[in-house]
Amino acid sequence: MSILHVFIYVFSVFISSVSQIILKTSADMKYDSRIREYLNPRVIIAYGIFFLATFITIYAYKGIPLSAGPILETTGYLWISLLGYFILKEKISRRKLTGLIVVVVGIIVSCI
Amino acid sequence: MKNIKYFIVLHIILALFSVSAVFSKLAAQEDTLSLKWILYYCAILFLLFVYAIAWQQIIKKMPIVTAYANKAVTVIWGIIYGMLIFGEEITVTKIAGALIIIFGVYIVVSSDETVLPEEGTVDKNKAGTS
Repeated sequence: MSILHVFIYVFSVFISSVSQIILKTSADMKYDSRIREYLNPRVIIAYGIFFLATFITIYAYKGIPLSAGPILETTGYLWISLLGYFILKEKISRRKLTGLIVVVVGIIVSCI
Repeated sequence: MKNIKYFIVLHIILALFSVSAVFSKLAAQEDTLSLKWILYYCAILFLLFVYAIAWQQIIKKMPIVTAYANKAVTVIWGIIYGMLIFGEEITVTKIAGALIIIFGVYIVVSSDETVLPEEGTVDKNKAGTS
């Protein structure tokens, strides 16, 4: 397993988390029409990032086993929580923080 | 009894969704934009599309927390498919790590229990890209 490809995979998870946050900010806005609700710059950018992420994921798989993919995918919980905290000003409860640490420990254990 | 039905459906959806990673790994073994690569890529998009729709439907039938907690099982599918299709080794640390992750994900998603988002926003935000 190549460390570089692990980072590339995690990067793709990170940018798809960013795309989800963008979708969230878009869903919180008011729109004139239903079409604008789905076809607006934020949604288009979010899906653009999402497609980019699928490409990067495939590239990352050149250097990591299949089993590592879904495991590294769970870093998404961490990214979503951090982005939610810094961008959407969502609180991270102590319970959630504990869970996130357990997830990270699990990822490290499975990569040993 | 009804709940068990949706629970089984959820796990069929998750097992199917995990196959998209298999196609990502298959595509990774081909030259980028070669015919096979494009076929695998289409398979990925098709599975993600089916998954997004199915997920949207299933979260109407069960608490979103339950659905997300069970989603962590994809970690196990990755290990199983990896062994069956790519001959990857199953190690003790891999299984232990996966179980720790599933436990951690359960803590994370259950911490949101008190602040459930409205159904409509959940559908749009999380179904497509998660």
